Amino acid sequence: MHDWPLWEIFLRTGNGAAYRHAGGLHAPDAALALQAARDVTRGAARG
Amino acid sequence: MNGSLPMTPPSPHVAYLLRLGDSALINAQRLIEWCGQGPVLEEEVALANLAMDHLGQARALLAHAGAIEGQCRDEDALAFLRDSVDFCNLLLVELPNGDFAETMVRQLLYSAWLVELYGALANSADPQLAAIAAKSAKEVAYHRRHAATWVIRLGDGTEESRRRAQAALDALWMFTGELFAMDEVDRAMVEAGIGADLAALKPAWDEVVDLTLAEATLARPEDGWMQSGGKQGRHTEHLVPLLAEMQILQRSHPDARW
Repeated sequence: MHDWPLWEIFLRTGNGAAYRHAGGLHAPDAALALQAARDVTRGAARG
Repeated sequence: MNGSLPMTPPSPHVAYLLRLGDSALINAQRLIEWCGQGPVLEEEVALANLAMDHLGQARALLAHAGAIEGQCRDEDALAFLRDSVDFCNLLLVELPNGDFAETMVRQLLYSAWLVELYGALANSADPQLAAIAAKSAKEVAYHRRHAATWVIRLGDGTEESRRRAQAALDALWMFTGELFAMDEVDRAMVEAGIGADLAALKPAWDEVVDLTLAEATLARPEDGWMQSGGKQGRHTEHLVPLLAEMQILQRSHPDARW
């Protein structure tokens, strides 16, 4: 799992709003990265 | 709060709500066991989120059951002061977590069923149950997607992940019959317009499970002899240790407050 790529999370509060960097996470592929991003940012603005 | 006093059997309506609430509660407890044990931090957070959703569903369902029962038992009394014979969760959700593949396969089988069940119960004649189901349907749709995503990657992954995923599927399959088995409580609730016709949910569940297993390159097990009894309070040997851990604080320090 140490070779999973690093993904950066960008959140925005709505369409047209500016993106804000909200940290990074490791995931094996894009689909799982998106799911993990939703989980780790739950409680913050939902991206 | 009242303890587990001998009481008359619950009405079909209360029994029906307890079954739904108990399955949510026990599934939450199993998922919580992954805290500190997850394969990676990101997945640990995901599993905890799933558990929180199920705990919220359990709380709403058990509170509603207690209110209809009218014996002054709130959701905490129902969760922490009943014994294993009074629990009526599905056997599938009380089984030990096994490895990560087994937890994910179980979550797929259960969540795919809940998506269909809560979808149907959103039209329940019990307005409180309908509201709980409508809210919970969105949560379990995410759980199903999360579990399916992992089952596909494990099945269509390495030789070892595939072996573990198939073994989990083969071991858990005999517990899927109970998802669709109707008894007198289910029939009474369907007749009252409160409950869902479980047999009618099966084609949609089959389709989702088959599509996921096909993409995961896993073989769907043959339908053989199916385990049942959880909904009627007949459990595997795994429920008592789970309850012991879940209930110990309330049993040791009744009405403890933070």
